Amino acid sequence: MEGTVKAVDGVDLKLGKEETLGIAGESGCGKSTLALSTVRLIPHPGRIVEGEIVFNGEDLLKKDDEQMREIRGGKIAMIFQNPLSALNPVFTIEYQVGEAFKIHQKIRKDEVDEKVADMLDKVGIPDSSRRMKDYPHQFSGGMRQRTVIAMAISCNPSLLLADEPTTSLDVTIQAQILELMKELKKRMRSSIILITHDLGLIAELCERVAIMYAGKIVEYSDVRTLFREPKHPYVLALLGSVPGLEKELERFTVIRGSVPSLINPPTGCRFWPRCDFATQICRETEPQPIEVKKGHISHCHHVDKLNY
Amino acid sequence: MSRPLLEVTNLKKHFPVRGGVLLRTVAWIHAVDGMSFTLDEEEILGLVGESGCGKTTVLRLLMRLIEPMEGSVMFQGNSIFDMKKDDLKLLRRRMAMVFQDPYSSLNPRMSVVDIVGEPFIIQGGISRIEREERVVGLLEKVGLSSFHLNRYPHEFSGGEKQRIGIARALAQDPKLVLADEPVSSLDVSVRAQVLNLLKDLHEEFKLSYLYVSHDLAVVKHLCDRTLVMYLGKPVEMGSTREVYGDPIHPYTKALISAVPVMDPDTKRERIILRGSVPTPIDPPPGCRFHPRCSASRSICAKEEPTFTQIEGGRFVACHLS
Repeated sequence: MEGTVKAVDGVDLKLGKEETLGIAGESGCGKSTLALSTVRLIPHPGRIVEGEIVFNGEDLLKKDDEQMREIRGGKIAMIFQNPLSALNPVFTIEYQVGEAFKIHQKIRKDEVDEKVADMLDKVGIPDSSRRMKDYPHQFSGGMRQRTVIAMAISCNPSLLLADEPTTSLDVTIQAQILELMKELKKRMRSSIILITHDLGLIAELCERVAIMYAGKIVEYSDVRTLFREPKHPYVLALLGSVPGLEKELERFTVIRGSVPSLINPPTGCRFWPRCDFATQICRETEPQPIEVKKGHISHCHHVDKLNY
Repeated sequence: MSRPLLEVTNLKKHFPVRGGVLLRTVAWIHAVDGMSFTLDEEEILGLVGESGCGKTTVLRLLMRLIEPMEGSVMFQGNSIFDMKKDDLKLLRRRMAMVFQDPYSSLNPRMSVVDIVGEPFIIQGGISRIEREERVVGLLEKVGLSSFHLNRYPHEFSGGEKQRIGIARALAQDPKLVLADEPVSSLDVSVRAQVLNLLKDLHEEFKLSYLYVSHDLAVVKHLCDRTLVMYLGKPVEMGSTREVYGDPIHPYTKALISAVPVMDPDTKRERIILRGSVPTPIDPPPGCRFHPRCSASRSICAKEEPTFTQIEGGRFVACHLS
C-alpha cells in the first residue's frame, strides 16, 4: 500500500488559560500526531501541510528551530506515554531533571541539585536527594513516570501536553499518577492537553473534551455535556462500548466494522460505514461543525436525530 | 455437587535467577506461590492482578508448557502433571489457549485455512476437503467467512486477527479456553465485538473460560466468578457480584477504587496505595501486601494469612477479615 496518511485532517481547537482539554479517540485516530504537531515534533517523513498553531498570540509554525527549542520544555512541556523511552538510560535522574533548569532558567550548577530534589519531592518521590543519583533502570514504572512529570513541570510551563500518561502503568499506579496530576493541576495553573483513549481519565481530569475519529474531530464540548448528551453517533457508541465499572451490562454495545485506513478514508463523513444513522448525505458530503449549544460542537448531519 | 472441571491446589512455580561467573542460582523469582482454585464446567472465572503477579505463569502451568515446583492440577479428574505424552496431546485438545497479542500468535507465512485447520491435521483422520469445510464453519462462527480462507494474517485488522486466533482455539473442540488478555491489544470499539463473541461461544459450545486480565471492568461484565492475585498468591475469590460489590481484602478494595469512573459527576473515595508492587524475588514476609496496606497490624508482617473460605464460595487471605 502506498499513499499519504492524513493523520490529522482539518482540526480546529481552542484552549483557554488554566483549562484542561482532553483529546480522546481510538488508536490511529491522530490524537498523538495532533499533540506532536503542537510542538512541531512530527517524525520524518511526516509534516504539517496546512494550518496554524497560535500559542499566546504567536504562530508556532513561523518560529525557527532555535526559537522552538526554547519553547519546548520551557513554556510548553510534554509527558510521554512510555516513561522508560522518555528517559535516557545512561544519565542519572538528577542530570535529566536538572537539564531543563540549566537550559531554560540558566540556573547555576550548584543550585540545580537543590532544585531537582525539590521537584522530585513535589511529584512524590521519597528520599529524593539520595534517589536522584540513581539511573532510570533503578526506578519502578510509577517512579519513572513521576520523574518524567517532574521534568515536564520543572520550568512552570504554561501548556502541558500529556500523551497517554498512565497507559503503560499498572492500575494502582495509574491511580497514583492520576491523583498526582489532579493535585498539580490545582497548584500549577498551567493549561493541560491530555491525550488518552481512556474516557474515565478524561471524565476525572478535564473540563473540555474533543473526540477524534479517523483524523478529524467529531465532537467537542465541556466534559459533562459530552458524557450526558453526546451529539455524535460515534461518541454515543463509544461511550456505550466501554465497559465501565459503574454499569450493569448483559452485552457490550458494539460498533460494527473497524477503524478505516487513513490513506483512503471514506468519502463524506468518515464514520458513515459504521454508523446506524447514515444516509445518502453522509456518504457524499463532509459534515460541517454544528454548534448544538454554546461551546458544544458536533460534526454530524443528523445531530437532530440524537435526542434524549 | 459434581466434580469441578479444573481443580488447582497449592500450585507453585519459582524461576531461578542466575548470576556470577558460574551462573549459579543466586535467587528465586516466586512467580506463582501457592495458588488454589477450582473452575466448574461452563463457568467463566476471571483471574485479575497487576503485571508481574503471576497470572500468565498460572496459564503456562495449566497447559503444562512449564513444570511446577509443587502442587497439583486436576483436569476432568486427571492429574495433568502425571500425564505422559499421549495424554498430554489429548489434554491440549481439551484446553485451548487464546493469546494476548494476535500479531505474534499467528504465523505470518501461513494462510487462514492453514492456521485454523492445523489442529485438524494434528488430530488427523479427515480429508483436506472436509477440513476446509470445517474451517469455513469455524470462521463463520467467529464472524468471518470463506472469503478469508486464503488470506494471510497481515491482511487482517487486530480484531479480525483475534477472531482467527479464537477460531483456531475452537478447532480442537475444547472444554476449557485459557484466555490471556485477549482484548487488551484491541481498540475500544473492536474490543466489545470480541467480548460479545466470547460470550456467545461460551453459550453455544458450553465452554469454560479462565479469563486472565488486568481490566477490572471487562472481568466484571464477562465473568461469573473473580479471583484476585497479588505477587503470586490468591488474595480474594468469590462470585463477581460479591467481589465487586463488597470487596473484603484491602488490595481488592484499592484495585476496584483505582479504576477511573466514566462519569464527571461521580466523586468517589479513591484508595491510593503507597509504593508499588514489591519484587517477587524477595517478597515481603508475612502478608505480601502488608507494606502497602493501610490497615496492616503487627501480625501482618509476621504471619502469612491463609486463603480461607469465609462463607459459601467466598475466599479471602487476610488477617483482618
